[in-house]
Amino acid sequence: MKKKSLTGMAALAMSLILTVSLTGCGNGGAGEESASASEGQSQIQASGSEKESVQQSSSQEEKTVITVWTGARHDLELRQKQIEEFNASNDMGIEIDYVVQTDNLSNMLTMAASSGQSPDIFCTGANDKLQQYKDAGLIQPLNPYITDTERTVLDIENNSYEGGNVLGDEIYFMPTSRRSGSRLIYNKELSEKAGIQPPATLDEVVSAAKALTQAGEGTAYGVIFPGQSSPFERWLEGIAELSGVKPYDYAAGRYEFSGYKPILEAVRQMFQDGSVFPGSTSMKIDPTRTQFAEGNVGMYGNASQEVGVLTEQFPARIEWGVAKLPTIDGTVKGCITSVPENGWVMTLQAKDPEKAWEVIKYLSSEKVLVEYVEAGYGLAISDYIAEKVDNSKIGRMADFAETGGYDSMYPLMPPVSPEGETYRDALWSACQPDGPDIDAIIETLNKTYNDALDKEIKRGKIKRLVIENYDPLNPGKGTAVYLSE
Amino acid sequence: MKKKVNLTVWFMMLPSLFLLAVGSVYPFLWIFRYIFYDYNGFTAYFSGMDNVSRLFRDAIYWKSVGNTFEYAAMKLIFCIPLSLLAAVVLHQKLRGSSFFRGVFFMPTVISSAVYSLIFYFIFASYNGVLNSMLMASGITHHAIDWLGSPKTAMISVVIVAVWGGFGNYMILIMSGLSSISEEVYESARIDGANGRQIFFKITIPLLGPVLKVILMLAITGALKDYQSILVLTGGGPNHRTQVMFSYIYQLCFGSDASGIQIQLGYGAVLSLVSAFIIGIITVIYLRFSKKMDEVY
Repeated sequence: MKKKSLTGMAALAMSLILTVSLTGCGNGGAGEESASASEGQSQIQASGSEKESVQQSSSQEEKTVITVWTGARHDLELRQKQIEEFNASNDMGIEIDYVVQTDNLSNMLTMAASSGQSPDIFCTGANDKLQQYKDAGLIQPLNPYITDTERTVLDIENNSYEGGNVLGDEIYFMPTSRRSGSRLIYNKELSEKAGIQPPATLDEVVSAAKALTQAGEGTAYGVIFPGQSSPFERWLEGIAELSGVKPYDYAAGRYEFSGYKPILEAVRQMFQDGSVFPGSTSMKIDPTRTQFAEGNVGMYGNASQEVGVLTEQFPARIEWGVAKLPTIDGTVKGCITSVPENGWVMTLQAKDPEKAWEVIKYLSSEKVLVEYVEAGYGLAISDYIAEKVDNSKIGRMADFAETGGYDSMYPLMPPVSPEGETYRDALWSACQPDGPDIDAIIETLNKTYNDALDKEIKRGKIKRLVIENYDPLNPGKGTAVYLSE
Repeated sequence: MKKKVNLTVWFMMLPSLFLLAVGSVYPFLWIFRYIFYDYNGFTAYFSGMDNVSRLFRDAIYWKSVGNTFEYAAMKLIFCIPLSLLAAVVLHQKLRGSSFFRGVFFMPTVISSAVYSLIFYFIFASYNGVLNSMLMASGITHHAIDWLGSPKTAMISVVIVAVWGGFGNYMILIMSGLSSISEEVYESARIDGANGRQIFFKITIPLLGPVLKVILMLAITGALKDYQSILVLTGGGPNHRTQVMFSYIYQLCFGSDASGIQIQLGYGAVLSLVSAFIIGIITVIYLRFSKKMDEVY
């Protein structure tokens, strides 16, 4: 009996020890696991824990670590240099901890916000998640800190986009560079061989693609699409925008997809003609770029990020040119989206907002911005910066800087979660020869998007956006009205 | 006295129960709660039964269920006989069998994302290795768009799945084979049984209980596969290779692209329904495979 009770007590003690140790692992586990999982996540711990916000520098001075998250990898070399300069020279006791999130930044922010581990600052471009960030208590406006210097250097007045970086009077971030609208990028050598000029209408695109394929003699093809990497938005959506077609009818406050029909038919025709590079539907973006760089593709479309790709990442073996995207009938009826990028958002969890602002101020300063543009990573956000930039240094970026007056930013459409496919996926499916019926897809999208819009307005999740005096050639000029029904 | 013993048992089980609660019960309850919400990861909006009623109208999901069955059936039809054959051959202790055992098992220890990426280049329609071989040998004169055509996309992802999975099942079957006594084979040979008779009358029946478990693991595993599909086709073209969990992944994790909203509430409904479907299939299988437990 005694022996049994001793055994019982020993078992009890062991199980308690095990439980406590496991619980201990549970408490510390998140941090430890995140520290080992990836560099990015290890930084979460450093920035999320207040007691670690103050670190001892090598010179034994106390420095406040300001954690900055970004999803951009392509400009890391320059950013690291700029951050090192700031860390070495600032006399405010600030050390920037610059973290490139290797995973989906948006998902990382969602997780960080719900677990109280947000960074002090994160980088974003104009997107439709701003309202969500605000509703979730993730971000804070920069209005109390912005001075005339930022207003001048960044031209805030002309770079304020309702729902994109501004909500009402509150400015949540100041874009510091711009990505151009989509352009047509074409193989000059193959075009000369085929005897064609960059097409200006959809019909010309179809015939040019056919001519380029014939000139390619079985090794080069007319056009290419990255079927697995947002194929619709890279340039087909740009053609639609320049033709005055958007998914959302801003004047009526409803979604309307019928304007896309000629574009879907043209792409389907190119597939049927055999003018599309074989395997496009399953290709990711980089393989399509390498095929163009190798001279196996006549033309494709993308924005200014292609400069770095075709000069550094996959240096083109052919001469390539840049032209304005075609439109449906050759007439420009709307602007093309040029995304304002690299805005630095201060989170509500920023340990020391004053010091976080100093970091944002530095990353938005004239010197940093001029370096960024001259390195070819983006276009100038303002005339002020454009004047300071040495244009001889920007190389092929100059081709994309030619806007023709059409690069702009549309008001953000109300973000909805339709039942079924997103419009980009559905419209791309309809582009393929064995895809669904085009009219049926358009009808379905009109229904699913407007049903979702009505439902989510009713739920209080979003508001209907109506723009009075809407002009697609000046999309930011009308009066935005938000309706709750 | 009995009470004390019970208490001890409970305390012994405490660590496991704790892990079960944290790792399984809590996530399940978390998912269950969001069935009734429209949840974008930041803010949850109560939506009643909307997510559930949407399930019945969602053609893509039901298409993905059909694709999942097709994928799993094709994978198992090729994978299990192949692994059984390889296990029996390599169990013969022939020269080089250890080498081939290692070679066939190798894909199991490689990340599916990595080998899928390699297959992505093998299947490439322009200058892809497979097309080059087929064209050089005169089997086809035109490059086949393996991953981009609805006609070939499914078989392509199945080939990758079979390549990645059969070594694992081969090792499991080999461990079952090693438990069959050599004396049984010896006496069968003395009785004059040929190789085919030995395989069907001795090996297969005596492997029954092991095969039953292996098949169950293979079925549930095939129904849950999605990683290699996401790398190879992303569920395309036109949802031809969209399986249940690739669709759920896209709903729950979305992407950074503007215009795509995370739908965790609806993803939660689909997760539960998919788990239920797999559960039902497993139960049906276990019921029909009862006979395999009978060892002579």
